[in-house]
Amino acid sequence: MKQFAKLPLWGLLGLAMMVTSAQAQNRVSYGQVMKSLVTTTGTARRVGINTDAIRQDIEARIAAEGTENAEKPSPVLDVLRKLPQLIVQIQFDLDKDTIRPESWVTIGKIADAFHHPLLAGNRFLIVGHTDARGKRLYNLELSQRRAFSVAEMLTGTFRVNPKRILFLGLGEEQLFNTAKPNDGVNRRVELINIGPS
Amino acid sequence: MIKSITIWIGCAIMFFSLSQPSFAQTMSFGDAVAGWAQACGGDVGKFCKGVRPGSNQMVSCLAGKGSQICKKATVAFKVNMDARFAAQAAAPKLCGNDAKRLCSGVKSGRARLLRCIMRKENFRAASRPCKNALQSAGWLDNISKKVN
Repeated sequence: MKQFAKLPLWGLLGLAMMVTSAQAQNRVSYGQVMKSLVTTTGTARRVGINTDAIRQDIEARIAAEGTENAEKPSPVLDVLRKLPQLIVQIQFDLDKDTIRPESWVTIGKIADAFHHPLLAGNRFLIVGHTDARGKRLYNLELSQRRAFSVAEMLTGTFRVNPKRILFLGLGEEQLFNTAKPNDGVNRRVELINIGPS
Repeated sequence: MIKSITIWIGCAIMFFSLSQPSFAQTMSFGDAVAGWAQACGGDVGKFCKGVRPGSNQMVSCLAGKGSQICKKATVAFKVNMDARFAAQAAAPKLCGNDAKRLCSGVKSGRARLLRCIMRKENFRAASRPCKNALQSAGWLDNISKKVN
């Protein structure tokens, strides 16, 4: 992987684009997916992630806080922020987990990248997020089903090995823009490279 | 006489097209699914609402209820998917000798060996069949200039 060491800004590039333009996320390119997800350090590290434990932790927080909005983002995912990742927007039917046809192409481009030898040895965590409208538990559950739906299209339609894909819904617990909790920019799907199989 | 010549030419063309399957150009998954969505997007809303596209039910729903254009596109999508996967599965075999020659020091593993072959200095020395196989698999598209 030495030959990719000269591309340290790739991951940041993907994220920076998300901040400046929500529109760009709808038209993600294959090259952008690749650049954002290829590990930039020498050898990718295997990251152990227990999605069930994360989910239980968040459910417990929601029950304990009993508030309409999260008091502050869950600390449990801080480790993930440092990994190569890309944020995309996927259009779903309202309050449903069905991916709309206009977003199928985005999943297809992600599949192209996941099948490329540069990424074929890696596993990925698919994280679904909602905006802050509605109840926290409802959003948690909806985002979980939507993250599953993305994972299912990658593994079903595009035959990515299911062992390489983890999925997790975070509802409104990690807003992208906390100043505008209802903004569309919060409704997003994150793809995180969690290292070799 | 003419008839038999025509048959022979036909056979020859078939032989050549079948004997070089690795050169068949296939579409990327992104382009292929974009075509499918374009042809079937309306039918999905009309007939297959609530069906997740990654579930098997989407293909069977569209194959049963979709318009003729959509049905054709659904078949074309599947044909391209199979061809692309076949091309990707064939690449490690078609590059097998190159891997032995150029990447003997690399630990085994399909992706690792392919990455080694695709390194600039190795790719230059790779055999023509191997290069063609990587091309057919779609792995030299778009980003290749930047990563190699």
